[in-house]
Amino acid sequence: MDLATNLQMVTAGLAMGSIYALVALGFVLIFNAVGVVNFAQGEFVMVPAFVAVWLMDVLHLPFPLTYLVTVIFMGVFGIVFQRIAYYPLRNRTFLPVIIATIGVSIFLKNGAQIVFGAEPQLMHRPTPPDVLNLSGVFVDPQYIVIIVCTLGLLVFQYFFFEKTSLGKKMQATAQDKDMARLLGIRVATMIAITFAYSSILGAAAGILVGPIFYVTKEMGGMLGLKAFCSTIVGGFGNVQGAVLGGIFLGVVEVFAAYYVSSAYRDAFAFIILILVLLFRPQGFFGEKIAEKA
Amino acid sequence: MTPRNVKPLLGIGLALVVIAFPMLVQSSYWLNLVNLAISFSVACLGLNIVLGYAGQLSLAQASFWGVGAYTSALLTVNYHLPVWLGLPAAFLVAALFGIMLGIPTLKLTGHYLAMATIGFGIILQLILINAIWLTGGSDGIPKIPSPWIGSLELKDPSKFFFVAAIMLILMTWASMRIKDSRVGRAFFAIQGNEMAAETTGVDSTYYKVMAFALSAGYGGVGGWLFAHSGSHYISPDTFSFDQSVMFLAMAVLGGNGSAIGSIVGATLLTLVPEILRFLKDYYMMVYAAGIVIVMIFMPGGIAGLVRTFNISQKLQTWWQASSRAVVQAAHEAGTPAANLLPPVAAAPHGDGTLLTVRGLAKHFGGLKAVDGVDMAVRRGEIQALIGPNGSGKTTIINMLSGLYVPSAGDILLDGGNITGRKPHVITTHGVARTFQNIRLFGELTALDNVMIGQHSRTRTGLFGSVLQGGSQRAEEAAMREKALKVLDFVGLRGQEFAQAKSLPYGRQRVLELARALVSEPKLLLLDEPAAGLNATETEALLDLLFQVRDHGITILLVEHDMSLVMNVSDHITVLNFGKKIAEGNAEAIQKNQEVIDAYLGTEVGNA
Amino acid sequence: MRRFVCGMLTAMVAVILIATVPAGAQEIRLGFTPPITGASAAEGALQIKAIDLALKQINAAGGVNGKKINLIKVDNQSTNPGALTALQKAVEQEKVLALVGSVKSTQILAMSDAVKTYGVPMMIGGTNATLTRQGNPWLFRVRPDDSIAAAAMVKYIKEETQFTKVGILHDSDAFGTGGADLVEKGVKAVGLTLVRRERYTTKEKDFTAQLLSLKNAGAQIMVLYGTNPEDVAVIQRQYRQLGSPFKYIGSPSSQMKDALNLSREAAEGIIAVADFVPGQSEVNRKYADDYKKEYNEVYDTTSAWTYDGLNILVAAIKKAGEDRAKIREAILATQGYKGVLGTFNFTPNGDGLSEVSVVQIEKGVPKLLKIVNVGAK
Repeated sequence: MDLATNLQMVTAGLAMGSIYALVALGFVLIFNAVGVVNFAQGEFVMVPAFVAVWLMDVLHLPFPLTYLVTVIFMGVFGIVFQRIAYYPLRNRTFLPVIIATIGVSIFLKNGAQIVFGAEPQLMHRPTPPDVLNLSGVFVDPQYIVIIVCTLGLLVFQYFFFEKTSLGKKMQATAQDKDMARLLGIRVATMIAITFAYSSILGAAAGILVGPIFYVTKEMGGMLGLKAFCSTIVGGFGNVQGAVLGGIFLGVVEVFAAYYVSSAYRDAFAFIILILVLLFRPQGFFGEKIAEKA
Repeated sequence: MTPRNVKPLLGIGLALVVIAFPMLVQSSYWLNLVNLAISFSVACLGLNIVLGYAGQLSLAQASFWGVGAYTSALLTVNYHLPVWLGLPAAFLVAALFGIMLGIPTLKLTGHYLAMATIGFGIILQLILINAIWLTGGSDGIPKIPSPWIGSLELKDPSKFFFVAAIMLILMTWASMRIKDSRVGRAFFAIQGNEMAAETTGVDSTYYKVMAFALSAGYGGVGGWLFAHSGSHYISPDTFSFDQSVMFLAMAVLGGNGSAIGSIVGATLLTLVPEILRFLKDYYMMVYAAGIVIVMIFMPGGIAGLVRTFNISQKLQTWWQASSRAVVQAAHEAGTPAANLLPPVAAAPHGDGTLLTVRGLAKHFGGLKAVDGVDMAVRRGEIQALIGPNGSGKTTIINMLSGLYVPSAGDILLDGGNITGRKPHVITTHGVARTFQNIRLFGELTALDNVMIGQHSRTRTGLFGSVLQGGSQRAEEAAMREKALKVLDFVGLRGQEFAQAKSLPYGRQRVLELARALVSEPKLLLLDEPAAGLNATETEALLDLLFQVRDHGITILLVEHDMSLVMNVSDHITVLNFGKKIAEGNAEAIQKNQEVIDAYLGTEVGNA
Repeated sequence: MRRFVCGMLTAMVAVILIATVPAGAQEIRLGFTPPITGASAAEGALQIKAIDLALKQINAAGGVNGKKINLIKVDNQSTNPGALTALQKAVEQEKVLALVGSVKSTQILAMSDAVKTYGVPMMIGGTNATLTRQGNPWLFRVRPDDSIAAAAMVKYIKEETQFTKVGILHDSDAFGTGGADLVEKGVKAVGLTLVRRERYTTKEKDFTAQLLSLKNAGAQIMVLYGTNPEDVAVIQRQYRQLGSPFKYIGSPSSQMKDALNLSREAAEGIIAVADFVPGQSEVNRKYADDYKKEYNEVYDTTSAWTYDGLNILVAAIKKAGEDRAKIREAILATQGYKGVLGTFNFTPNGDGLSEVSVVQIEKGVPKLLKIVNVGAK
């Protein structure tokens, strides 16, 4: 197959992969902090997308202000979310929390429909709509923005958790809540901040993918699942792993759809997931954890 | 009234209700909804087995429901097989898919399992859509026939209702029987604590696959009911992830682990949307908020709510009156431990050694937790394994009980090599253990815990559990009798029906000991049995250990309480940094300079 | 066991208590089963707008023989079992005389058996060609079926363009697959070459692989059989971003309002078939005006069938009275009825339309190129 086609597919794969990675980052944060998988993570992308469209179309806010308001909104949203779906259940097993987050996910989808209407919405884009032609390979500038932002957030996250006091406290909380409590860290606050941050990552994803996916209440569903696949493939609880896992899945999907079957495109991510779970359950970058007797 | 003479009355009442129901309702709209609710209920009963009994989260129940529906629809539409033949086919093919999902996901728990089952469901739906040659693709399969009895077609919802109701009663009955059987207890053991289940003799792999297969089979039967009623039409879009979530919501609303709860949950979530149609757009929001509220405020679902109001508790007390009578009889018979424990088999080797360990090693990455240990445990003795923290004591116990596979070395029990065998196999060979941090099946009663302990010595399988023929009932009775005796033996008389986790700490320790003893071990491994016990309790434990030894059971114990060790041990092995540094009787060990150094060097205060 | 019985009894008693029956008055009760909740809620909302306009006009004009029309809307929850219960609820609980059904072919298939058993006339918008050919005399289609749209696309490619190499991209759902099958058959029948057929799953977000595959197979023109407007909009944008490597002719979803709103300039110049073109007839222009007056927005072309459906049904009731068998005959006897979608001439099978329009998107609006009449089949 010719080079241009393959390069074109790599580009598309990288873009999709970066999107998975962006959403996956949010998963990993919450999982690390409280050991819970948030099945409403996809809706953390859908909600800010709708909010941003509304701010732009109804209030006619300019791009920077729209993004700022959306991010603040989602920060609050994350805190409210954890108050409802996590906090009351924090001393129970993972099962009620999973089910509660699934409940919230359904609630948000249908709530979005009532608040914002059932029609899909167009989100205006800050980048020019014309594609860049790089010697036969067409690249949407928005894709470049997405890839750059994902990498930027990854770097930011590294500095935040390794270099800032707040980040270190959050990490201490994630690693050992009792110890953190003894050190005088306000654990509940740290967890709330983690949820807020995870939700803000969702806002970033929503704002970035809104212009290319269009905004519908269903936009987060499959995205959330694939992002979750990414985190497992990359290594659960591992930030770099989640990002690389996402990019890996994005690229594999495009190639498999082209060379194997486009009809089963959505299946490939899950087939890879099941294979990874079978043969390398700790993921590509995760460490093996054994239960102690 | 006693349970015995109420049973036939209940049966007759139920039959009357079923017969009268269609006449009372007379609306095919409502009857169809009820038939749909029954189809959902059967699928939920299946989900209840895998989730409520075995504690494994499956988000693919709609797929199994779909496999059942498609199997029967294809067989009856394309191959013109009778609809009744489609029923076992739906069960079997769905169960087969359950095994296909179960085997690769065995090692997974929690979130991983949830995700893998979602993936499975999505892949299956894509196959239904795209394998047009087989499934007809997205168009689905129309004109699915109805079952016939002779020349009577059971097409009208009021007629199909009887088929559905009878299936529901049968499936509920089977699921309740499984719950109260050897198989059901194995499921609950896995849910309670998988590691403990394994060391208690439950082959967790086998039972998890069985739970998946059963759950899928139930899903298949539900699918059969769906395909041959209502619209007589199926298409892939029905068997979606959303539907799986719906099944989960039904099972959870009804009450995890309760068969009747599942039915109530399924019925409510099928009928309530019809009643709440006035909510229109808001219905789904109300439904979703309901899921969250149930999770937060009604953790036990409807069944749990009923339990809180003590309704079912009272029923249960009344119901268990007969069981209590048995307990009473057993106590009055007053057989302590006389014929409780099996006679110790004559030694095949003359040297009197029960357990031989040669060059045993376990490495975790670069860490050599156990590094080439040789030791022997003599038959009928109490041997202690001591050493400072991190010296590898528990690691050895874990290897002996099969939880860890040794990196090197051999473990011979009675001359037979048991190195690297699975825990439940080792239990069958006659090794039982307790844990440092107690691993009981906390939600179950003390009696159930001890009955699970006999798993490796009993045989009733799935079919036996459902059919409960004479030999199964005899086995169940014998298990119960023996469990009661052992509980009596360890001093838990009167607490047979207490929930294990509600017992005081010291009682939990002896309950765990009882669970181990009842598996008829040759060798009993005790990991810090006295940890957390007060002086009186330790005294009682000492007494108990001697009694156990006097029954010919060999004991290997890891213990920090040195006075206990010195009092009870016939022989002591000392470890430090994964290596054996000394062995001998109490006196010799107390004088051994290397042992003194090891303890002084690391934990002066502890010894 | 006792707990079991208690559970069963409670459930059953609940059902019996709920099963009460409302009664009708001096009105004619008709039913409509749109998706109000679930995945197709967006389409449902538009369908309701269109049918409510018809209802308002009919009742404003005095209803039928002095009786008002009461249109009862029952949510089909966007699912097949939901469609069936909606139908049963409408007929049994709400006692409707006749209905306007669904636009989804699978939902109609799920309802079909019960419709036949009840013997209740149902106007449908599902376009799967087989719906009216399964021996159910109670289904009446008020949209051109897929075989007409597919035949029109093939006819257009053959007669109006020089292209010989055709590629197909379609949704793998029933609508897309069925339509693509018909196009594939048609393409081969008229001597064109099918170079490649690609599919996608509803709500997919990246179509690079499929579009490149068609391009590399040498397709000169792509037939897109898509269902969801969002999917189609994404395809249109990515098709444009890949440099429009071939011509594009799409099924009706390609010129739907929802799709065009999203893809904007990316849709310029795209050719598509449409049930009809806004402004192609006088009735149509009046509908556009009325709709604009009522809702202050441009009407959606794919949901206008509910408007025609209710009007044709009511016209038949006017002629035949409140008798389902006679209504059926009256609908089948409808010839030359001028509706929003075109001129209706019902076939004995129950198909009302046999013509579609080929349009091109110009400045975001579908513009008529040609009306293609495929004739009775």
